[in-house]
Amino acid sequence: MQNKLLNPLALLFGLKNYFSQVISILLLSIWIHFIWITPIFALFLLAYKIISYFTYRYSILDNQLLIKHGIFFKKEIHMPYEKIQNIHRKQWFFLKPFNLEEVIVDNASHADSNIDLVAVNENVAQMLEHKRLIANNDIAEDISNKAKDDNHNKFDAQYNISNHSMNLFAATSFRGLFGIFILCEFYQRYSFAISSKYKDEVFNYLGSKGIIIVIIEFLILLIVAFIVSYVSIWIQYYRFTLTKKDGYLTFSRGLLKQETVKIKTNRIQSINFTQNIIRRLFKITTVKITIISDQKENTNTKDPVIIPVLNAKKLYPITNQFFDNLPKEEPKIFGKRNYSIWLFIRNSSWILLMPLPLLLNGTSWLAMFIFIEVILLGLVIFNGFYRHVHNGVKLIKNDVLVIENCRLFNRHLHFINWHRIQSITLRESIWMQKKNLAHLKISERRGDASGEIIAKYIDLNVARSIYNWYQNQ
Amino acid sequence: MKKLPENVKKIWMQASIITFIFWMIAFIGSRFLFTLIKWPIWLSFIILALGILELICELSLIPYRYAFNKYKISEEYVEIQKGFFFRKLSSIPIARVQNVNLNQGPLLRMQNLNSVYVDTAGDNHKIEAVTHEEAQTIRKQVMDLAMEARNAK
Repeated sequence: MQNKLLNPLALLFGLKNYFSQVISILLLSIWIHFIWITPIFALFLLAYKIISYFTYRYSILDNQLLIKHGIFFKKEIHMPYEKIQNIHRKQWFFLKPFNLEEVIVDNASHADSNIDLVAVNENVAQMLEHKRLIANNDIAEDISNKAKDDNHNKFDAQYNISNHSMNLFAATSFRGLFGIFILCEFYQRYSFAISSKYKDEVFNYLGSKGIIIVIIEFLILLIVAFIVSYVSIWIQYYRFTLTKKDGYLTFSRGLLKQETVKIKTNRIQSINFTQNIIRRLFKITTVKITIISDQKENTNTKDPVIIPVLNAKKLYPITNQFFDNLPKEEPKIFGKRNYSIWLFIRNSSWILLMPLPLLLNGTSWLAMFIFIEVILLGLVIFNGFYRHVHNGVKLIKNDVLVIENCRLFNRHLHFINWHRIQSITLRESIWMQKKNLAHLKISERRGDASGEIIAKYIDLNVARSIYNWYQNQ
Repeated sequence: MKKLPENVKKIWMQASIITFIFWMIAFIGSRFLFTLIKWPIWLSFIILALGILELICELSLIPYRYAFNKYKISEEYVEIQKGFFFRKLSSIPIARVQNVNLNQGPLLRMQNLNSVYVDTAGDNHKIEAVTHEEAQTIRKQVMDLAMEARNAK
């Protein structure tokens, strides 16, 4: 395949950008009283987009993928198949009838040389995958062609999400709460734009209704947020499948836009079992992995969710199919110390200062203030106990270190192999030393930078034994 | 474990005096500023007090800092210890070392010392000061060992 054009539907994708650019120019031109510049600009931009569409050519050669583009300055991007890191596929639902999809090809370099084929036939991605396998000597060419058909539907392991799990996953998500936080954030940032008259009206309104109405209204807001998050998760994770084959993990998902990402298993750095507090209650777990990636890779492949939900019974049997070195059952964690309850409570007690601004207006909000303080105090104390319960480390077979920790009521269980730990740090203050406590910090590679996993306030002797284990391998 | 060279104490002393000079500048500046914006003058003495307090703390902690800053380079790992109130002990396997960088600020240059950064793919670790010759040998030794460890795999 040489010098092929993208499918003409690629032009449609450009339209969205086109309109936003034209509108921004329109606004600018109104501002500087120069409106007639807009249609001229729009025409030029349209011509530019069309010409650049016709000058963008891709060729799938024997040893490399070649892109030629540019109107005045001709550019060529050569990507040898063995340099390809990732092939991402994204398919909007309206492209499905045409067998078209977007293919993004990453390489390992930091330079801006990723290739984005906006609309190409589905077989392009398959061809690239195949050529990459050959280039990496993972399969020989002649065998592969024969074996291709028989092997096509055979996987080392496969996981499909069921509707029941999907419901559980969507219903136990805290995304709605984040939505409310984002609204509050917006309000704080742009509240200067709302005139104080309206603000006073709102506050008067709230004041006149009394606290119960306010709480009911807040609950309604919560329910709406919940429904929005429920639906958005369904759309995002619709028909989630994970397969393992030939040392690659492939996962695909999405209702409106089906995304397929293929990850080489040796890029996996650590495995992370996450549970928010509701999921902890229902004993269901989300499995995430951290992988090495480069800067340009989009954010949702940085800490990808590999399995959205698994209940406690299935968790270890299923994850064992996909990953080596996981234990057969929940590991028993060491290093908890009762004294850490107090330390966790102390460290988060600054939150109690947050509602103080309520008292600025005199005593009118005093009841509200006390109410919020009591709730916060309860939360802080609960947080101390919760973090204490989910805290510790453990060594399991095959030199895998397990670290359990907890942040913002999210409980994490990290599994990391000795070979993936970049360095290890033991931290203690002299006051902690008296109590025989220490922090243990593991640094790993995450995305294109570093990540750290910390077990806080664990027993010094346990921490030291892990440290020695790491050093004496 | 190895201690840092003796004259790093001098550098810490100089550094704390330089920070004190900045505090003094802030103190003098604040006297002008506060008369300008009509704040009470005595507020600027808080700045002076903080500056003096920091100077005293820094100077009196130098022996402790010296006693607790250590490093060790063995065949398998680099180990760095630092801090008195908040102690840190880090271990980096030689096979994980990507890079060893030498840095030298003006104070270090006067004493002919270097600070050494040991980079892994994830993070980096700093040995505060070693003599220039020592820094070169560390760099060579660690990089050679790292090369060996990687080739052995």
